Amino acid sequence: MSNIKTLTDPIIKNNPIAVQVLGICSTLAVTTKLEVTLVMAVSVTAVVAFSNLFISALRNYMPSSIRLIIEMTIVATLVIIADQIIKAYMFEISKQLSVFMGLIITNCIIMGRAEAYAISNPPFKSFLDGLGNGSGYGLVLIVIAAIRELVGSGKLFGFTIMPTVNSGGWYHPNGLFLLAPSAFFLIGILIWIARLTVVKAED
Amino acid sequence: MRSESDLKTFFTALILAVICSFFVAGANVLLKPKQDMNRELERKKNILLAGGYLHGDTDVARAFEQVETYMVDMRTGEAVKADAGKYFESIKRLATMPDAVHLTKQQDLAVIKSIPAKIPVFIIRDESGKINKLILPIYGSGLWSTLYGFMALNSDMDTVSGITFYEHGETPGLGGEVDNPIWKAQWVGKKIYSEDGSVALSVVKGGASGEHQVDGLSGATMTSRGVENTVRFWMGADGFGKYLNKLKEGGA
Repeated sequence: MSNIKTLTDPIIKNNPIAVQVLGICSTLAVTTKLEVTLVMAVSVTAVVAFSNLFISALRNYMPSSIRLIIEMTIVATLVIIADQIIKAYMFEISKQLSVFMGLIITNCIIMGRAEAYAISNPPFKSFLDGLGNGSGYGLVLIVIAAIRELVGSGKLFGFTIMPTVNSGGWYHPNGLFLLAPSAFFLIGILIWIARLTVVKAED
Repeated sequence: MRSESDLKTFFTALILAVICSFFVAGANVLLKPKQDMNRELERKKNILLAGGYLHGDTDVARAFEQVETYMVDMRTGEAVKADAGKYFESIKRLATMPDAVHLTKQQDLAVIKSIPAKIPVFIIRDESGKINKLILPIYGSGLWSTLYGFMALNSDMDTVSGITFYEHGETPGLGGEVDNPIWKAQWVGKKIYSEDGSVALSVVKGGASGEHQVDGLSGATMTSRGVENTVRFWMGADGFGKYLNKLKEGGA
């Protein structure tokens, strides 16, 4: 597979959320506001890209008996560093992300890509695969967050699009969209659309 | 499956652990000053916010100049004007020092076992020098985490002027809603004490009425209960009760 395809395939055609159905948990949790979601998407992309890179670079040196432990250690290190950077430079957002930043460690996309790709491919390609999967994850997150923030609080990126009744406008916000179940519905619909179009076209 | 010697496995793990810990420690040391600054600013913001002195474009550092800090002796309720020092960075350590105040099961409503011997409080005065707002640091256990915050009282030492939490690890969207301005606004104007001087303020499930009740957070019963117990502890005799009585009797 060419480098470009390695990078772009996971964004739509082999999207980690819609097609591989990985990383659903954080999609439910951090998609109520676009701003927070964007930071989460970038962090996950950085973590998965670099963990793929390092794991792939070390793949021939890892004793198989402790392979998973080594992968976990690398991922955990990267997540802690990302968490520290966000706490230092984006304090407001770090407060809203709270535990979910640390929980990137448990995001299935990261271990999934390490095991499915990085462990048997060269470093640069693995890095691209990580970037692609991170972006694919981010894309879905952002689409869902945009819908949830708009319908749930009448805003996008914190700017009022539809003034809500609470602040003197006309829009009755749909509170359901701020709760996790709404993300379930949205992801479900998204997976359905993906299966209908992208996956079917391949068959 | 390739077979590896135990020695190789051991050294690979060791080297990796050393390298990773180096990076983690490095990130922590390099970024700590910046993070501490963020936290301090956040705390000052919350103190002003609880007192109702924070508005959209307030310069936090300037606005904080009018705040006076006193250290309260938690055993006697005596207060002396002093700097808060490193109190907020080391609450946990101070609460386990030899001079800390240990709480019995009955006393320990907030589930914190012991509290520091001296705790800073913040006072904002009006032009004539009378106390306008009194801001007390509070903390207690929620569902997952300890919630750290401030409770601000009006000059009557009874009416809530505001409540905020500057640090907690409750579930975002559920218990994390303690940060929701609409929920916090409910507290403003509530009375803490009943006629006989006991703490009457409570967090109830739906249909809060009267001046002693606040609506709980939906989907966060444990966090709501934690907040209620935290407030009841710190406003009670084992918390700031003695200090508040001294203030009421003699002024400050």
